[in-house]
Amino acid sequence: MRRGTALLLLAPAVLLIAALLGAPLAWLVRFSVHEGQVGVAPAGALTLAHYAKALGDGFYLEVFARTLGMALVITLVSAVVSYPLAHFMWQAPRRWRAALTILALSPLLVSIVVSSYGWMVILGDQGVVNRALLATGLASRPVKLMYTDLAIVVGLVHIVMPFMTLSILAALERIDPLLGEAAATLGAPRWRILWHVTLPLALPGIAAGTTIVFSLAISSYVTPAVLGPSGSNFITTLIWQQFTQLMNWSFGSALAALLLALSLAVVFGYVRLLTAAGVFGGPGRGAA
Amino acid sequence: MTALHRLVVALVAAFILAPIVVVVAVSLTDSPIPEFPPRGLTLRWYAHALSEDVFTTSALNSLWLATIATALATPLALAAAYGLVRGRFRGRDAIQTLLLAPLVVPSLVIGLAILLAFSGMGVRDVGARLVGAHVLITFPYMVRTILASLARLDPAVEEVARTLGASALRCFVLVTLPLVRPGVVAGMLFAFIVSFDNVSLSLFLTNARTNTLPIAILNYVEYNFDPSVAAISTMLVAFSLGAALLVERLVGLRRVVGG
Amino acid sequence: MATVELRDLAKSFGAAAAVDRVSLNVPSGAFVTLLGPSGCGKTTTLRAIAGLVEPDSGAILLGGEDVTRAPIHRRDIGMVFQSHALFPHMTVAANVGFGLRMRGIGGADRDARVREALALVRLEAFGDRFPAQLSGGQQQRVALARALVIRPRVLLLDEPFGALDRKLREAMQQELRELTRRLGATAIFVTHDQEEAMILSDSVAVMNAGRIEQVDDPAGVFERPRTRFVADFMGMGNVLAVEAGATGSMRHGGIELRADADAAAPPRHVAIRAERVALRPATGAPPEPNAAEGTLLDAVYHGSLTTGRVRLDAAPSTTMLVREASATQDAAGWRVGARVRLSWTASAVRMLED
Repeated sequence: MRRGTALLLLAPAVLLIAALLGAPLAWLVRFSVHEGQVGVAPAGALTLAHYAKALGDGFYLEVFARTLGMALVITLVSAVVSYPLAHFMWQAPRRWRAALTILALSPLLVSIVVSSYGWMVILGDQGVVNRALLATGLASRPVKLMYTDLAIVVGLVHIVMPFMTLSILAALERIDPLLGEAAATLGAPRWRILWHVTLPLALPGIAAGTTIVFSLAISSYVTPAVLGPSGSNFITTLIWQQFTQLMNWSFGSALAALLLALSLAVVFGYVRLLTAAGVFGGPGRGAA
Repeated sequence: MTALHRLVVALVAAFILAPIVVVVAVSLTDSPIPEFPPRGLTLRWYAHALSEDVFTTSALNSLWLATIATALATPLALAAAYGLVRGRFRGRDAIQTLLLAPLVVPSLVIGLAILLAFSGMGVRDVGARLVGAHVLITFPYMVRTILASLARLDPAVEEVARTLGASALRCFVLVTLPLVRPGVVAGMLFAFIVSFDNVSLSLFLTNARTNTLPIAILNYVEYNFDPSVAAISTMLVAFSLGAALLVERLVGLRRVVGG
Repeated sequence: MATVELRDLAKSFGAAAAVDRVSLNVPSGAFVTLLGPSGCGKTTTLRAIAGLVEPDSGAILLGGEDVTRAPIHRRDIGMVFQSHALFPHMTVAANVGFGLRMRGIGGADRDARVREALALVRLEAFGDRFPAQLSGGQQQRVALARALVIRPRVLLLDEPFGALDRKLREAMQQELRELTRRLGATAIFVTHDQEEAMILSDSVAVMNAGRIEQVDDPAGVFERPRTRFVADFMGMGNVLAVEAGATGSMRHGGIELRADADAAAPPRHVAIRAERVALRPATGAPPEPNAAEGTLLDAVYHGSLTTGRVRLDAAPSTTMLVREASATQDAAGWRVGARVRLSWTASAVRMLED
């Protein structure tokens, strides 16, 4: 195909991204460097005050730190929970593949409102868990599970798991099956093969999954808003509050721009860091 | 595979399925509050849900939105993917990254940016901004699926069609398109689910009068706790999983989701 | 069928020259093979003729018409790829009829020509099958019928039998040879297999690093290589560096070589085909031209022939290859470690250009 033809085919798509992503993001950044707004347009002098406020005020820094901390926990838990599933999918017979794929991806295929509602029913004061606790006498009063950080972790781990599982599975599938057999013929017991052969080779997948999951976790809104404690406890809920309750669009835009920068830094920076450290055997794979 | 590993996997599977199973079960309960395990069996919550205007109107909105977004994203994605696979030019990787960028930018940020920009331009129409946003986020999934299908197509098949006298356009219509059709259809189905299930973008772009189904559910749960939400959710799940099953059979879900 | 003429064809990918000023004349009805190692530019040359690659400079003429800038689909070319490249979503008959359909030929006319083409490759009964239901050899025959049915000006074949096993490949070579001779088709065939090239071709163009080094009939390139590369690629076995000696002879170490032809300039290398070297037990006779004594290092039996490596006394850093029919070899001479005498005729010594 001639270069001109190819570029012609790509032009509408590039225009789409430019018009619906590039321009709006530029507009958002424009808001963030203006003092305030008049009507629906940014107004006042150019200023970096909103960024200074976001990064200088202890309250906002704490929200950032809290979000990053939660995202870290969610990432670690999802890696631990996803690995056994990915390993199982890797070794399972072919005919199970479709069913296992649907299972692993189901959190992604089911609307987040549905799973959130499900968690409300499970974790509520009258929910499945509390009733079991009361019935077995493990607790005398309902334990507060809903509207806690724990609920956020449970809900988010559930949603991000498909990405972690698929990343690990992709790495496992690149392993030469003869490697394990070779290790076995050399007398390595099962757990040592896992520890010394399989896990190190799955590391690029775990690393890639970590990237995606971390960036998804810091930018999630629905789960913290629906399952988490009330008030602004995540960057995203803070941004939402700035826009819908305080009508402070400029400051909200600055927070959103910071979230975007953080998210892109995670996706692109982390991959580069890991590539430099040699975690990815071949050329670095971009995040999904 | 050890027994321990099987047990762990069973627990993980239970965790994954728990909220879905609970929702389905609750939708059948014969009590006025969501109860698990369900007490008695009834379909009356389904009847109730289907008689609620908030659900039916918003469901129709969602159907329209997903259909339009998919219909708009498909030709764009098809052309772009074909240009990416068959074109040889510098900056190919950069353009591919750009086209997949809507997956990397947080939905919340996309939603806000579109809201601000559309308002700034004086576009207040909820439908317009919803369609714009949904085209944007369904598009990368379609590009990815079609790219995967095209990558598995032997370029010699197209080349031979050209040497036999087919113009570039006829070659595309008679040879390329029929061979990547499963990928295109799978991409469309997945795009449809992505749009139909979307919350994080629609949340910013809908208003009290024009709603999508997931947003209507979210709003309903804030003030009502009856199991009709479970009933409508179960229908949503059945719809999404049905489409997903079709995608899996057509090209394999993993090609669409990536990772 | 038409003539094909390439004039100073050149194509680079980035800084690397894939095809470097290639000129070639293919008479109408001739079967010409582009032979060379992978990366020598043979496939790029073929693709340029088809229009799949746009040359940087030079000209391509089909039947005297300049098609250098003509679009692919207006060149009237039949092409066969290594991956048969059949349309998997069409029946065999639809595959074969595709080119006719593109030319607006339909109905009974098309059906008749498709049947005729399938008969040519003995697949009359397979028209309703899909490509996936055929064996590898059958698929390649369909591809051939599809290329021939449009009565192309030239048939281009890009290692079409590379994916087939040896026996099937030989049968297909035979079939292709008969078919092209019968139809009087002009064909350009690309391969890296010198044996295949010799079996099929009227003439062979040996390519190296983007250039044609020699064009000749099969016996010509096999027996009379002009360059070191061709000698090496055609498996001459022995390429020796030489210096000019007395009275028109040449020396390699302490060995004197004589050729039966005169070179314009004194050559720096000569080639001697291993099959044309004779091996006898050493006699200890005084040195003479075109003979040398040494030690047999090893002997590799490969069926009808046996190949030996001999270290020469008069040029200890050289091992010469000698190949004889296993059945007629001198049992005493062919013992590993034996002292042997190699000799060859002046006509076996090919003087090479650099």
